[in-house]
Amino acid sequence: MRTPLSSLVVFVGLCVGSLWFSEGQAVAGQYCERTNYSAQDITDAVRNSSLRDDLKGTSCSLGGLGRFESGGNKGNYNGSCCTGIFQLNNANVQKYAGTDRAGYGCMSLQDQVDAWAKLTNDGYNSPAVRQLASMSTFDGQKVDASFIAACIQLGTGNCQKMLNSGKCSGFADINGTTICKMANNARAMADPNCQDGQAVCGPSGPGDFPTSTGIAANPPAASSASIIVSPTDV
Amino acid sequence: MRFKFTVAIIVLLAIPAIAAAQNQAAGGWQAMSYFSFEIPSTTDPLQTLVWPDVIREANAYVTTELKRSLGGKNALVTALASTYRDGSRTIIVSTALSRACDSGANDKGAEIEPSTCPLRIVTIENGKVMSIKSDTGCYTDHADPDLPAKNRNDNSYTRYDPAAGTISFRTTIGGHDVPSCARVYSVK
Repeated sequence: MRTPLSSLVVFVGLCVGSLWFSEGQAVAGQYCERTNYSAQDITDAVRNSSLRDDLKGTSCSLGGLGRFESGGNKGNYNGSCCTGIFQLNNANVQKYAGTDRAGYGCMSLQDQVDAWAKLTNDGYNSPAVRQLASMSTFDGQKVDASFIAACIQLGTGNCQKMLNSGKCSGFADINGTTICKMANNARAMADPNCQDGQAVCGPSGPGDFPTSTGIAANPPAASSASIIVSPTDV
Repeated sequence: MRFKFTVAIIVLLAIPAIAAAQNQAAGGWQAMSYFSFEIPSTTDPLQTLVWPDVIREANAYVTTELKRSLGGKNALVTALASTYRDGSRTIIVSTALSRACDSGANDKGAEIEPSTCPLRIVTIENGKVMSIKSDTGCYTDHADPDLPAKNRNDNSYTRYDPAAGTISFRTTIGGHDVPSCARVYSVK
């Protein structure tokens, strides 16, 4: 039998506990309608975007990346930094979609993917990605387009920390997600029936540099060259 | 010529308004103020002197890449800024969120991180821009009610040391200073 006084104490305790708990916690949210886009839906949007052709080469895994990040729910806000099908952070939403978090969560799947593609294309030219692209493997993991996309996804500055450490564990988010783990998850969550439209010709090894923009416009770093051809040799 | 003179007069008139809006505790840390440039202005020195090129680039991105009309507004470009008066000189230190920033992780498990962005220190004397120094500095998200409570006071802070001719800079995220954001910039 509970007395009125003890009930009041329990009630006040619950209120205080609830306030204390919510103070430091991020509360996930939903902007506009909840969606459940499949990995194939996301892959199709990636193929229709301006993403570099060499990264589109493994667009099946990028559909998996969208499922990994948001479960296919384009209006998903993680309650802290990130929103949308690929969980773009607040700053990147503003820079690449030209709007705020709520506006982004309500955009169409294709518009969200287009903004993400522009972010990813810009990230491709960062020193961290150029360094990663010059390797065939990193910490025992093959460097392919999924790995490169995950490097950009978790932030090129964070990716550089991983590269400097020489290990996948060199950077992890608060949930312990490393860039290597994200790439693996993206591959695993791709639609099993999805077929990559083009040969996987991402910069996965020496000589395997992207050709969509032409070698002259996108040369490998001199330090990574294994064959030196002087003008007189041509 | 007439245009330059007009801009100089406008800037002289506008700077006290910005400076007055700031909590400028002598010798102490000053919280940087947040500015949005969506409404075009010919009198805001941040738009006319400090970040005109960044605003132009953002406008071009929205209209040509995103293929959206701006309807007479600017693209969503935001900045943090502090203003200091030192005799006849006015010193503006500002970081702007642009595509040149590195903005950290995009991930369901990530938390708010500062963006590493272009930073400019503009020194103005008698209405003339004497120098513009460029570097990088931390930019923090503008607080809104959807952010976690612990992030609603995220900000960057500056402190001007007239004797040393330096501006110290720090950023707090989630109630803690971010070590990589702690910098000292020379104004000279």
